[in-house]
Amino acid sequence: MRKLFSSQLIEARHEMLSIFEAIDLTLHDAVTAFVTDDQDLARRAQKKTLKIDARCANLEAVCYNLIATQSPVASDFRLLQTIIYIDFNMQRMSDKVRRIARAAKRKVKNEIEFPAELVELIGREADSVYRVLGATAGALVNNDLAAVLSLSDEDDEVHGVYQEFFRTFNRTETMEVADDKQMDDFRRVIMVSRYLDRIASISTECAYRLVFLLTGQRWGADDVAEADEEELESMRIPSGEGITLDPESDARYVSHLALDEVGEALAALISQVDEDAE
Amino acid sequence: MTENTHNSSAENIISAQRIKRALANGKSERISKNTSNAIMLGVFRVAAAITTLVLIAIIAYVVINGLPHISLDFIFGWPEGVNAEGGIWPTIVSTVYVTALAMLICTPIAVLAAVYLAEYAKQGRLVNIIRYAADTLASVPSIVMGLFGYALFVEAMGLGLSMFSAAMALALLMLPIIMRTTEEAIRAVPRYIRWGAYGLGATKWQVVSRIVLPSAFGRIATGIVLGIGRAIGETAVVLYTMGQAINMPISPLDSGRPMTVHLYLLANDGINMNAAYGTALLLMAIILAFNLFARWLSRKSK
Amino acid sequence: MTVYRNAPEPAQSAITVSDFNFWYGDFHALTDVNLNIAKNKITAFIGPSGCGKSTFLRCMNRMNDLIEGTRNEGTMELDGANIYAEGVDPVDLRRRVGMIFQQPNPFPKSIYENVAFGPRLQGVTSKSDLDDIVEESLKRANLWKEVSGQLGKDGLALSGGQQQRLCIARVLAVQPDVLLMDEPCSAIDPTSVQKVEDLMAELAPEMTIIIVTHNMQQAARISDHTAFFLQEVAGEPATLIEYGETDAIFTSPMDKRTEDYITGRFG
Repeated sequence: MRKLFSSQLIEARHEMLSIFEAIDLTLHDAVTAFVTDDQDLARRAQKKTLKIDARCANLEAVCYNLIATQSPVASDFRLLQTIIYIDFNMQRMSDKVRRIARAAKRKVKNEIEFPAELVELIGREADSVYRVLGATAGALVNNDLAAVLSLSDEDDEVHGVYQEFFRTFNRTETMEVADDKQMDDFRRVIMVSRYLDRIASISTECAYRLVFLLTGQRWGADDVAEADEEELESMRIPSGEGITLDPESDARYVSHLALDEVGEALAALISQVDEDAE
Repeated sequence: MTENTHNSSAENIISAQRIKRALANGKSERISKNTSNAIMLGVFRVAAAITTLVLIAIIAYVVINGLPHISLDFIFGWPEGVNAEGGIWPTIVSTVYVTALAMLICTPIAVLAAVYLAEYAKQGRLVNIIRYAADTLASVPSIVMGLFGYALFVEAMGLGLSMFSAAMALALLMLPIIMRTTEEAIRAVPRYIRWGAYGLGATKWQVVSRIVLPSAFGRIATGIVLGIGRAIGETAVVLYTMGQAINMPISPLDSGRPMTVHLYLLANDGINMNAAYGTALLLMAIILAFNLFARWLSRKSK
Repeated sequence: MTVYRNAPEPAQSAITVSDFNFWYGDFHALTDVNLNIAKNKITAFIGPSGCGKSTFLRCMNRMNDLIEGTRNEGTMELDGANIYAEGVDPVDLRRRVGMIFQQPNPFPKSIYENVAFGPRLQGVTSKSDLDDIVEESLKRANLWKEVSGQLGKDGLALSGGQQQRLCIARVLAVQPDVLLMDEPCSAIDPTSVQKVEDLMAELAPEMTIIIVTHNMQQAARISDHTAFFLQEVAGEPATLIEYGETDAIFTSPMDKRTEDYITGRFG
C-alpha cells in the first residue's frame, strides 16, 4: 500500500545521498585545486557547488511537497524531517566547498606565497575531513548507529589538525603583505582550514540526525558523546518501507566515493555494486 | 526498485491485454440487445395496463350504476317497505359505530403487543412464533373469524348479536394488521436515534414513549387506517356477529345491520339493485377516502 | 504486551481500566486492556475496522448492555468507582458519560426539544430553566448563532454538520464529565469537521473527551493521547497495542504494527 509514496520517499533519500556524494567529490576537487594551484579545477569545482545548491533547493521543495500532500507520520515523517535537515546542512557544506574553491582561485591569481608546511597541513586536514564525510555516508547508507558514535573521534582528528594549522601559522614568519586587498585575500586563503573544520562538524551533525531517524529521540552532540552503543541500539524503533531500505540500493548513490575513505562496511557494499555492474 | 517498477508495469500491460482478449471472445446474442429490451418493456406495459384497467372498470361500473341513486335522502333516510326503498342511514351508522369500537379495542392491544415484540421481548424463537402466529391470524378466512366470533362472543360470552360482539370479532381481524405495521414502524426508527436517547440517560420506557413511538407515529397511524379500511369492507364477520336487523344502534349491545350486510342482502335476493349499487358506491367512497387518508398520513410522517 | 509511551498515571486519570475483557456471546472481542484516560484531555482510539475500539468506547457508558449476550471481565473505574460494580445504574452512568455517534442523530423534534430532552429526563420542568439550558448548551456547541431565531425548527432540517453540533449541544445539556465520540466526523462535510474539532478543543479543558476516529490526521491534530487497537488474527480477540502521548505515537511508534497502520501500510 502507498506504493507511490514509498517510492517517492526512497527517491528523495537517494537524491540526498547522491548530493552528499557530489559534495564529497567536489570537495576533493576544490582541495586538490588549492594544493596544486590548479585555477581551472577550482573554477570547475565552484560551478559544481552551484549545481549542488540547485539540487538541494529542489530536494527541499520535494520534501515539503510530500509533507503537504501525503500527511506523513511515524517513520515516513521522521525520514522527511531528516532529509530536510541534512539537505539544509548540505547547502551549508556546499557553501564551504565553494569558498575553498574560491580561495584556491585567489591563491593562484594573487600569487600568494603560502608556506609548504601549511599547504601540507591543509592536505592532511582535508584527508581527515574526507574520512568524516565517508564515515557519514557509511552511517547513512547502513543506518549504522555505532558508526555515528565513532564519528566524533574522526571529527576530533580534523579539529586537531585545524588547531595545529593555526599554531603553525602563528609560528610562521609573517609574510609580506603589500596592501589591504592582498591582506584580505590572504585571510581568505588561510580560512580554508577553518572551512574544512566546519565541513567536518556539519557532516557529523548530519550523521547525528540518524539517531532521530532510527530511534525517534532528539539527541544533541553531547547526548551522543555520552551514549554507549548497546543503549543506542536498544532504542531503535520499527521503520517503514521508506527507511528500511536495502543498503545495497543506497550504496549505488555514493559509489563514486573513494573506497579508502568510507570505512569497511560501505567499501564492501560499493565493491559489490561495482561487481554487479560489470 | 527500478527493476520492480519495470516488472509490475510489464505485468500490467500483459493483464490488460488478457482482459481485452477475453472480452473479444464474447459472442453476440441471437436477438439484438435493443430488440429484447423493447419486447420486455412492452410486456411490462401490458401488465401494468391490465391492472389499471381492471380497477378503472370496477369503479366505473359501480359509479355508473350507483351514482344516479345517490341523494341526501338516500344517505340520511331510513329503508322503507319490503323492497328497502328509501335510505340507508342506519346501516352507515352501524358500520361507523362498529368500526370505531373495533379500533378502540384493537389499537391499544396491537400497539402494546408490537412495542413488546419490537423493544422488550428477547429476540428469538418465541418472538418469531408470535410473529408467525400474527401473520397466520391475518390470513384466516373472514368467514371462519365470523363463526369463531359468533361462537365465542355471541354465544359463549352471551353478548348476543350486537355492536360489541361484532367489534370484538373485527378487532381480531385488524389486530395482526395493526400489530405488524406498528412493529415495522418501530423497527424502522433508526437505532442511532434510540442510542442518542439512551446516551442521554433515558430509561427504556422513556426511550420508547418519548422517542420511538412519536417517531413512528405516522407509520403506526397509517397501519391503523389501513386496518380500519379492512374492517369497514368486512362482510362475513359482521354477518354472524351483528345480525341483520335494521336498527339504529345506541348501546354497544344493540344489534344492527352494517352497509356490507345490507348490500349483500339486497343484491343476494335481488330485491333492490339500485339501492345495492348506491350502497356499494358509498362503501367504496368511504374505503377510498380512508386509503387516501392513510397515504397522506404516511407521506406527512416522512 | 501493550507498549506505553508516557501514558497518564492513575492519579491524573478520569477513567482507569484494568484487565478488561469483553465478549459478544461466545466471541471474545477484547482482551486484557489496561489503560488510564487522562482527565480533561482528548484521547483518541485508532485502529482498523473491527479492532474493538468502538466496542471498548461503548463499554465506557455501558451502551453494550443494550446488546443481548454481551459480558465483560475486569474493572473500569470512573473517578475511582467501578462502573460495572453491583448496584450501578447504567442509566445514571450515561448521564455522566455522554455519547456522540457517527451518524448525526437528532430526535425528530424541534431544535429546542432536542436540547431540552436530557434536562427534562432529569425532571427539569421550569420553562425559564430549560430556556437557559438550551441557550447555554447551544452556545457551547457553537450553534447558537446559526439557530437562535429558529429553535422551533425540526432538528432534522439542519445540515449534517449542524445536526452533529446539535447532538453535541444535546449531550452538553446534561453536563457530562466524559464525552465519548464514535467517529463523530466521518459522516459530515470537511468544513463542519473543522468546527467540530474546534469545539472539542474548546470543551477539553473541562471535560474528558474520548474519540474513536479512522482519520489518522484528525487523531494527530486534536488528541493528547492516542491508543492503538488491533485484532491481529480474525476470530481472535483484539487488544491494545500501543498507548501514550499522541506526539510520541505519531512520530516514533515503538511497535511495528502501529507504525504500519498509521503510515497506511497496514495489511
